[in-house]
Amino acid sequence: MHGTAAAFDRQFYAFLESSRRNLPPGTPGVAILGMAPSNVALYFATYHLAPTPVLLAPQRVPPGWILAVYGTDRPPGWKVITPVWKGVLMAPAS
Amino acid sequence: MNGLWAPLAGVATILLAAGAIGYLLAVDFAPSSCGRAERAGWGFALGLTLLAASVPVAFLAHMSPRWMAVLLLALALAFSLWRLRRTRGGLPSISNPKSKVQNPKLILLLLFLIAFGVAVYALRALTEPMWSNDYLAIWGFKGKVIFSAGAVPRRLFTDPSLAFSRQEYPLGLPFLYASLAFLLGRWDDHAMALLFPFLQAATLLALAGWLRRRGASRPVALGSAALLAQFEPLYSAFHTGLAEIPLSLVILLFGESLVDVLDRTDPRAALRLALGSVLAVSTKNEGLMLVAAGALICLLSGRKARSAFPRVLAAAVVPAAVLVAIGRLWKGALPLAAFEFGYLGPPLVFELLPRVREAVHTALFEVVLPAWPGLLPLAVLIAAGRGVPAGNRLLALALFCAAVYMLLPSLAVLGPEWMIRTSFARTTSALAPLTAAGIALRLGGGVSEGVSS
Repeated sequence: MHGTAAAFDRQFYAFLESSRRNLPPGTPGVAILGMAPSNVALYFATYHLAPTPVLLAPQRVPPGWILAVYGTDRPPGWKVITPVWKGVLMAPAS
Repeated sequence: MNGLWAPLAGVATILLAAGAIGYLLAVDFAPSSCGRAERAGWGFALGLTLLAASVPVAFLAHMSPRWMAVLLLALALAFSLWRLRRTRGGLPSISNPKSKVQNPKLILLLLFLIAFGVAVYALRALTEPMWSNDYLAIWGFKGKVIFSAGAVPRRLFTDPSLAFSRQEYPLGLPFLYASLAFLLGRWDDHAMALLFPFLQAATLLALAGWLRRRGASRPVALGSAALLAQFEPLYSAFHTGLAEIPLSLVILLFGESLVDVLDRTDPRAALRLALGSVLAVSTKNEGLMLVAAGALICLLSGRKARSAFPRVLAAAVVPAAVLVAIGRLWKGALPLAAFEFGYLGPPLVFELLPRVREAVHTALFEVVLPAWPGLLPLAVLIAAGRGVPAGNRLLALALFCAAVYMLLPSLAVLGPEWMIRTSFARTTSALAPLTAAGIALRLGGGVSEGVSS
């Protein structure tokens, strides 16, 4: 994790880095849930997951995108692909 | 700490190599009377230009950006050596009739203060990886996308969810970041922060060296560099990673070369002005404002300086306009998202005056007046100087830009107060090197070199 700005929220950074390392190849984008939406959190997540497109707490998740859930919530209709630091990566159940 | 030193040494090596090659290349840009310091300032700017340009050139040529950077630097080195061999006798000798040191203790003190300022800023810049909001949202983000994708994805200009990244901004700094990362082999936003103390050092060299060439005494030139080196509002941890520090160097180089053109100091001044103009519009949108201000100052100057207007037009305005046109063709028509230009016409024009008042009021009472302990000595120094035309023009350029930075927030979508609070101090701090050059020249310089052959 050396050489990366993490000071904004080190736990959230560890979650993002863990998510980035576990993303399936060719993932078109990542929607993040479980982090209170704010400009700073959006900039932080977008920067760390670049070049993969990111949406923070979106109303709708674009087709094909992965859900990265920070925390213990598990939205219905999604299945866990892999656990990550303090969260999970999820894909549509069907 | 093992993880930091290797990439830090890598970035230092890249920057030193680019600066050294740029130094050799600067022989063709700098006048023959130019000293080592000024040449080093221009050389570093040239070296960084080659690095940043290597990325889009590599993408266009479908080559590896790393090897393109190596190729461009090698070609620049070969060209410089060939030119030096043709002119017989290596680098032009540095001759300065005023180089006799009158007060060595004072000079040593000033050199110590300069080194102290650079060391303190290096500590600020390198204590942690670059973290500012605008670094994460704009400059670092775009550089990282370009490096990680190995391309410039169209979504950088078209994706509405990336509107926060200021899609209309130029890509000079992101290309530079990407180039450093390609050469380093990884994205390391801690080691890459070393770029910024290097930029500070280049600015100080360009300032002191130019002042010496324009007749300032050694204590005045070094004194102005020593004061600038301590200027924390510009050289701060927060600004590390943003465009203000690179832009401050570019503004200084542009201003110096502009007054060189107006004073007809040497035939290469127009070439330097063209480079300054290209760097200005490649670094930030207000680069275009700087170029326009330069042209305006030329027109408002006395008859002799005004007669240089065609040269200013050709060297500054045309390259800037061409570069902006290329950017528009490539990226499409991207509006300045932070501004609502509808306030300049009906029906919103009636709201403009209260917005101007709000912007000026906020700037004066929340930024300018609280800074009076620093601004008062500045005013005294300006008042103490002589009316040296070149110094006056540099100060006029700085004043014009500061006025625009104060008034433009009147058109801000999120309100004048918000924009003044978030950007006025930051953007005006980039005018510090230019202001320092103007003040120092009025205090102890102003000897024009006249037209050289």
